[in-house]
Amino acid sequence: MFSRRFDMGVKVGGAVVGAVAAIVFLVGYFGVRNSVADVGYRPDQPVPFSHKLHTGELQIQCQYCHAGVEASAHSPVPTTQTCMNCHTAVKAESPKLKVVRDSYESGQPIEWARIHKVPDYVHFNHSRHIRAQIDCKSCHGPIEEMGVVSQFKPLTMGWCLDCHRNPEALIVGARPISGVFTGKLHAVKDLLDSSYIFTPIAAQVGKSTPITVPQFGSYDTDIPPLTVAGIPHPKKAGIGPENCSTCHY
Amino acid sequence: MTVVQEQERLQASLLGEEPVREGLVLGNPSVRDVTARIASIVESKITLKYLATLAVTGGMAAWGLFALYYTFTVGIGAWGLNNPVGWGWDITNFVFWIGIGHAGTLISAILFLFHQKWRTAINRSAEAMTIFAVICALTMVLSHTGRPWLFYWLLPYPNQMQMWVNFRSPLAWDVFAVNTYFTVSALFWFVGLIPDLATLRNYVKSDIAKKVYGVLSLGWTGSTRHWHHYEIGYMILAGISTPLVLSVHSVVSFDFTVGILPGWHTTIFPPYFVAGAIFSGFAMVMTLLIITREVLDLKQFITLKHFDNMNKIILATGMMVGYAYAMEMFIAWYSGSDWERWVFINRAMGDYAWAYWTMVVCNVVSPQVYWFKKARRSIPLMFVISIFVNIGMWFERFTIISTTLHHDFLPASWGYYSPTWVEISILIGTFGIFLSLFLLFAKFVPVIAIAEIKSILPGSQPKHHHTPHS
Amino acid sequence: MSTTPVGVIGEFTEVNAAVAAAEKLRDAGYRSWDIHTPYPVHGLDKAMGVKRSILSYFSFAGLVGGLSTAVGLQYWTGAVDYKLNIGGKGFFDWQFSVPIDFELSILGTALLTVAGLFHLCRLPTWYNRYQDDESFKKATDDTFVVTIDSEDDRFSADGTQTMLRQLGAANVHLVTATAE
Repeated sequence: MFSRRFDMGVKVGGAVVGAVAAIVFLVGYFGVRNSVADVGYRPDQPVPFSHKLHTGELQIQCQYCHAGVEASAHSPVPTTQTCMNCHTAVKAESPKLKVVRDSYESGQPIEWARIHKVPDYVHFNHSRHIRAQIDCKSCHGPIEEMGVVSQFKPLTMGWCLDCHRNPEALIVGARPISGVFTGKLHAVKDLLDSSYIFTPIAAQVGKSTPITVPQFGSYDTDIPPLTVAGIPHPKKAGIGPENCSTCHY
Repeated sequence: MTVVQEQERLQASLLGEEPVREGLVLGNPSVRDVTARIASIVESKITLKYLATLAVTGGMAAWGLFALYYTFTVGIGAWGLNNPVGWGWDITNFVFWIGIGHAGTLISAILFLFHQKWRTAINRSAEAMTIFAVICALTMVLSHTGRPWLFYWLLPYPNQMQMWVNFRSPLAWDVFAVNTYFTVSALFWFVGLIPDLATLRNYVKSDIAKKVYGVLSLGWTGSTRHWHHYEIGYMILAGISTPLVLSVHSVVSFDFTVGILPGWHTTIFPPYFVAGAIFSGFAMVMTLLIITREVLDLKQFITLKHFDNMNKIILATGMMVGYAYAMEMFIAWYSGSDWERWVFINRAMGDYAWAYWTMVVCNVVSPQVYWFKKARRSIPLMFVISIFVNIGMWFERFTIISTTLHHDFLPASWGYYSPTWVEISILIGTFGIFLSLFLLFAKFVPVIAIAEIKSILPGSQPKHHHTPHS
Repeated sequence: MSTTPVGVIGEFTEVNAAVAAAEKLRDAGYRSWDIHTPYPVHGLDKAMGVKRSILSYFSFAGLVGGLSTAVGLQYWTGAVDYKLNIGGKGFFDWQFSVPIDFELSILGTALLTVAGLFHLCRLPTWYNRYQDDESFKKATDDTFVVTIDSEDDRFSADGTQTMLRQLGAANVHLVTATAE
């Protein structure tokens, strides 16, 4: 057998190592998993394009470049031609735009680095979310303040479900901000002060039961109204479902 | 043995307390002889023959691991699976190995509860075999998932997907059953080992071995106060392992029966699988023990009486399995279901008839020789039959899986399944892993439960006398 | 450097003598003592006056813990946290919960039985005050080794040794430790 010191050493050492391992695991697992899920991912882009300048200061509506996002599953990245609509006249000689001009002349698209991506087995449909009156900022964050765009939300399945289960608590009622719905541009500096923007709409629509709580074979829970007090409800029929085939099809 | 002990034993026999029977341990060894005999296996030098054998089995294991590596990098398209046969050798091997793993705990637990003292000579190696077989089974199911590095998806844990395991699925039950079985078997085995490791700690000469056995034996001293807890703990573990053994293969059979495919959707499966598991497990114990007994010269402890008893169990469980084969056929006819009838006619006479009849000959016909005592005590014969049973039980699983799948409801999609070199290599590999682990076990761990053997030696227990309670 | 007595050791090689000696020592009122045996000797614990083991309470706690974990896990994940309609089956029904209820009950019982066993036997303890004594090492081979600790109220280096010799123990001797 062994010395008393060995006995105590192994036991105390084992307890310490075990406790440290447990703490490291728990902190690592629950603490930093969002950064593991690429929050803050900010790749270098081929062109030093600033959303802060274009969206924030110049107030260009999102759909000017990301045209068709409200009608299609995919939010398109603009073609070089879209850039050149303005840049044939504005800053036409800027050295920062050389890549854009080269692309325009050669006909070869610019290779933008993709930031937001969900796995192939998940179908995220932009148009459905926009039609449910969910603002771009709910997922993409304060784009108008980003010089270089980075990923703002983890895009994990759990993050999707948080909203699909309880949209009224999580979706910021800042719908006019990108002008998607109003067609009208807003001064961000005014809107930032508005309490309307950052008030979750839960208080305004009251409590509703998710529609994915079917009793055997049928959906017999009440479907919430399309609008409550004039405010569109994101959880109207068919929106915010929790069944697998909503996204995995 | 002292004269006094001898007299007492005789007296006890005459009083009927210790019936005069064929001894479980031959040659009347003393307690010290038992220690020396079994510990000497651990103390003996590693021979060239041992290393050569280990190299062969290790090579098999390495080859299997390479095939697994190939599977993981290429995907399970490397296997012969396709529509309509989506389960092939992977699940066949899994069910085969998990079945092999049933004998160990059966011997340790059920026979312990029934006070079958003959189990003491074979329980250690049978339990070890159980653990190694379950390791092989786990290897098979993990590779079957296709992406084994995501194995933890099978467990309910808080995750970023906010998803949980589907507890309505028998596949989830299987995860719990097999893992519980592995954990409990390993605990049971280790608890049984502790006193023997302490014996080795005090027996071996080499300093390193002393330290290793010293750490592993956890400082066991043989204190009676500890034995008191130990015996109760061992009894409880045996008590809970008994229903566990019966449940594990039942749950494995649910993987088939809860589905609705003809040939699988039958109520006889749970008992039939359990009987088959015990049958195949005992056959594997026989195969290994016959070799171990010869090589390590353990004829003193593992006697023909042990083999006789085990062969009786093989005969009994073989008959149960045969009954199940017949009953399946009968119920298929009696059900009046066209599909059920077709599947069973196809099983016996279709493309896989060769596998079916191999199974019947090996499992039902070959053990019939055990009606004769001479056959039950003939080492060469029982060795051959144990191999037959192993083969037969593998084919049983193969038959069940492939005959149901290869002809599904749509004749246009009927097919025939045959394995690729990868699957064959993996099967060889699991045998390599199994045999390598068993070889390491036989050399470095007491192959026979020393303390248990000592406790059943004649005269090792006090004669009955009135003990006033304090 | 002074030496302090750790206890007295005596050897028995005959099981009935060991049991008889255990009864005598028990009746003499010794408390902090033990007999180390190579295998479990039936009735020796009783002869020593060892109280009934509380291990089965550990096991029962494990059973209750395992079963409630299983039922709670399946109910909470299926019927509370994420209700998914799968093939029209209920979100939670006791029928489909039985296999996992059973398995986790067994697992809980086994884990707590072993944990309780280790706790009650103070395993692992890789150190024992008698460990360097040659007689003590025989306890895992073929000898029934009596150890009587110096902490026992009735312990006296000479008296205890004499008593052990009278009970028929061989190789009775005092074990001492060097004070640090």
